[in-house]
Amino acid sequence: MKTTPLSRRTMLKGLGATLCLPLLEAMRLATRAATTANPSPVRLAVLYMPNGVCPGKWNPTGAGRSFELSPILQPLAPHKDELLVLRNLWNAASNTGDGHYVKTGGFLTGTTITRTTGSDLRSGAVSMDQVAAKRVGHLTPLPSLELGIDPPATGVDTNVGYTQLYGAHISWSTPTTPLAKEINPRAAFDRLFRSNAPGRAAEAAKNRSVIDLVLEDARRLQKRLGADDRQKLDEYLESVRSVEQRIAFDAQRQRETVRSDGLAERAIKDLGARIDAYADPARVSERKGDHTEHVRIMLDLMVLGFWTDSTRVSTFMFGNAVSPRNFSFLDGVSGGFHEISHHKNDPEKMAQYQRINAWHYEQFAYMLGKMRAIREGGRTLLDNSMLLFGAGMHDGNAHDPHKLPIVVAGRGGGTLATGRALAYENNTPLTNLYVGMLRRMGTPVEKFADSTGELAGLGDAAFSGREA
Amino acid sequence: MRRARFVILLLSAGTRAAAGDFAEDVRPVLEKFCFKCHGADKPKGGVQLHRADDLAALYRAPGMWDRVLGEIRDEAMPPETKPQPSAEERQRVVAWLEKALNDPDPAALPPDPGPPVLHRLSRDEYNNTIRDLLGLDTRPANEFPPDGGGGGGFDNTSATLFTPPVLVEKYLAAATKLLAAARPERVVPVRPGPALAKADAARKNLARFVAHAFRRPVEPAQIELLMGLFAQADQRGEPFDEAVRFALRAVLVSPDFLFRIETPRGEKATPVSDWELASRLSYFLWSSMPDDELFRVAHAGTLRQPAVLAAQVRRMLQDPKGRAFAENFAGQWLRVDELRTSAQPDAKVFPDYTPALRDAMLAEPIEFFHALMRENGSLLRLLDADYTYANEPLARLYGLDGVKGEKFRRVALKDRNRGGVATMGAVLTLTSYPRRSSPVLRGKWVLEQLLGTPPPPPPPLVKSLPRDDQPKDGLTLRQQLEKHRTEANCAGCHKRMDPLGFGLENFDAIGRWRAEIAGQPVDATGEMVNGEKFSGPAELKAQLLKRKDVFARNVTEKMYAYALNRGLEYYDVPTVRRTAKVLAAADYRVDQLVLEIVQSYPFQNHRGTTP
Repeated sequence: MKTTPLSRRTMLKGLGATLCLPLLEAMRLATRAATTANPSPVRLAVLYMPNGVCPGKWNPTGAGRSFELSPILQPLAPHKDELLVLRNLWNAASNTGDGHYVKTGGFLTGTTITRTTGSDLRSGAVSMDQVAAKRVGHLTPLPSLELGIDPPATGVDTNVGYTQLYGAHISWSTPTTPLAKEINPRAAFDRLFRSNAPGRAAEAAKNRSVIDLVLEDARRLQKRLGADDRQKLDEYLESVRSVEQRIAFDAQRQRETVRSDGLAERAIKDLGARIDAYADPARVSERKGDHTEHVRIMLDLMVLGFWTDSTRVSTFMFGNAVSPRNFSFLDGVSGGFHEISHHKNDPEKMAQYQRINAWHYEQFAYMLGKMRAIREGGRTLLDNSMLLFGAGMHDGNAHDPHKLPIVVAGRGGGTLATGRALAYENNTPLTNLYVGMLRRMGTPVEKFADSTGELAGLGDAAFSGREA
Repeated sequence: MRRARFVILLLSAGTRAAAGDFAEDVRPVLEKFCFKCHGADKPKGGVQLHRADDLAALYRAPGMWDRVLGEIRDEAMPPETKPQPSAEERQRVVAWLEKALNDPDPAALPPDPGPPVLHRLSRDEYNNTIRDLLGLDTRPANEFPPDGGGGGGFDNTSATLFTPPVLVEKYLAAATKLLAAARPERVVPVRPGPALAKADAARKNLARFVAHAFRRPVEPAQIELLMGLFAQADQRGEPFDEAVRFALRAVLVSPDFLFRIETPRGEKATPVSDWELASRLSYFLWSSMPDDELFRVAHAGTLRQPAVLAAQVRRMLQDPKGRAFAENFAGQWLRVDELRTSAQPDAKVFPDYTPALRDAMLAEPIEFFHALMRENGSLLRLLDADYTYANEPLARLYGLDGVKGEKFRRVALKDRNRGGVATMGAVLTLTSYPRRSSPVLRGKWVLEQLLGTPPPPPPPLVKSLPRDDQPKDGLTLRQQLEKHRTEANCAGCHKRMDPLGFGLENFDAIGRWRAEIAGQPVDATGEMVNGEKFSGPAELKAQLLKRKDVFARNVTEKMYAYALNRGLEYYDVPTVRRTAKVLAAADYRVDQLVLEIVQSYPFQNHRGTTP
């Protein structure tokens, strides 16, 4: 089970991206990130916001270290030194199709999704987070953790001819398999922390023999099937194997150093209590459609998942594409997010749009605050993480995939020089950032989709952008 | 790929003989009058016609071509401002399309029943199957990640039912929990005794359970594999009962249980086996596994006999488990579930919209459809009916007296404005914005859900409309919409959509009757594309009833997609058209439609190993 950090074999294991050439660079980064003085691993998170941002209110002013946050980014002020605000990146492959689905389903793949009503679902590539998960996922109980708020809508958006499934997924484990996200706080909590319960180890050993038998039986079944069906069953087998791995971790429980941290244990207990309170039916009507607590619980789960090293890769969707979420619980806002994002330059609507955007960054700020308060080997958990917060378009009124609103928080184990706003030449591929982040996860990617190299200056504090 | 080309060749050959020639008679007209806007470059409404060079192209997108036919026939296209074809040219295209779409020459289409089923049970199917297998109605899959929906518009579409790791974890956890909760007579009915060794008793229990769980006879080798697990537990010293339950865990996470897996039995297309047919039936009408009676008929090998099949279908429609069909088919077709997910009436404007009212709204169309199934009523009652099903919260919303309590019952509707699914609270609410009704969304819903003729997407940078129904710049919402429709870009679709919605303007954003909007009397008049005028919901419904055949074909297509667990393909067109005709001749009775489907070629057959 044990793998050396940069074994060539692992690197080449069935990925969509071209791997392995810039080995030296990846080794250098990985070595810097995990020195003996700081054995903590680097974690990768992606937070996705639907419907874009209000134009004119997102861009920070200034460049490099001397920059001012914009009105929408204002909630991040306490964490300004922990941020990289990146401007002028774009996702070229999503500049087609429709307004939302191509910009969601392809957000982390850098590819153009196939327009389909359902029978030929295809993103075109493994998503960036899953490339990382394939690299480091075997080191933790969960290879990755997909979280969200909205269930996937059933059926086809007949306005544009895409199945709404595309709008509900940013993570793809294969070019044709979207990864379902957990939206139920209790279920996500149990999944992460149930193995702490007494008697789990014995139970895990029993389940392992059940799984072994199922795998054996399924392999026999494979022989009976046609090629298409075999592929479908392969997906099932892959999942069974990942559960087998999870069980192995449960049984062995050798990662007690992090988990036996009393603070983490208390945090887990507290979160469990908050989830109970959240699920209390009596409180549902009290909230009056305010889903802030739901979002915060999911973000806390991500933080705890990282802290306890239950996973090192995670994605979160604030909402599905075209989210009609009613934000009337915010002062001054009345109506649904998507509807308001089509502001038609009406100042009143734009003010509401801005308010909704800012609310998203308030939640992000909450998460950053939590991660900065957690100490880990002389650093903070945030120092050891990279959190990408972004959307698939800038102005939602125009569905424009240019100049994407991208913020990266955390220092990637000391490999990111934060506290800067960086403007790049127009139409710099977003995937260049992915290359940079993947390398910091120890994945020596040479090229990812349309990337043209690693995004310049991520670790260079003296760099202040190269806007044309 | 190679196969597709082969089909096209066959098709082209067949067409030329059958109905004029597409390349010579039809395509030049389309090229001259349509391709400029509907060609390769920036196609308007996403409609591209330039790739059509034969009949096969038509059958790849029959829905779109159906709309094209309607637009050309109604002279809605080309737009008034553009050059028009001569009457003869128009007639030539219409006649060719009508023949190809409505009366395709079966000889031109080589029969293709579609692929064998490989289908991961949906959440609801899992819940119901567990209920019938273990006698536990705890609906464990409600804790599983939700399933998305695919081409047919239903969450039972095989192609979009994935099996991510998180789901397998849940299957495993659920298996342990469910088996512990199941009563002994369900899972361990046979006990060892003086005349029955432990291993033999275990084997009997396993064989019985597995045949049910896999919904077919099972090879002894598979039982022996499970016996290995039993032996492990037995050696650990677990009691007999526990050891059997332990072995059964593997059954509940086995692909043979979690998936419906059909095995092709020859190189060419063949009938599905009787066991496979039994499962097709039960998952179609019950969203669950076959019961003992179905298993019995499958075992006897008589299920395919028309009289036996018809009797089984009638029995199944009457069974309480048939409610799953109403919930999943009708509920998803009419999209009422969006009330749970996306519809969010503003609490300040509509304080009456309580969770109890919402639940009542959700239940109404399901109760209505379920009753229609049991009574074997006419599907046209979905367009208009003089009754509905209501409980107290809903009756209060509708202004009906004398309905007390939470329980639903049949209620007569004296006011003919109410009645039929388009006037149900659920539909009226999900087609509204948080603070006002939307004639556009309602019109779109009628076109899409009832008539199966969805409008194309709006062009980018459309004009904005207010979010509530207060007049703006001295114009009521309706007047603003009418102004909007004078713009050539918008007129094409909105003159089809908006009037249908205007006819429902007497219902507010939560479906309550109103005579005024913001102090002005409601103007619920409208004009159909053919020029016929109407006023108010009752007259609108009369207009819809005139289009009953369009409606019937739409229901037929939807139900086929649901029954076959897949989106329809061009090779299904002849089957669907034939069924729609039979349905019209049978007064649109529900059971006739279901019977036609279960007796159809694609329901009874699947492809072989060599396509």
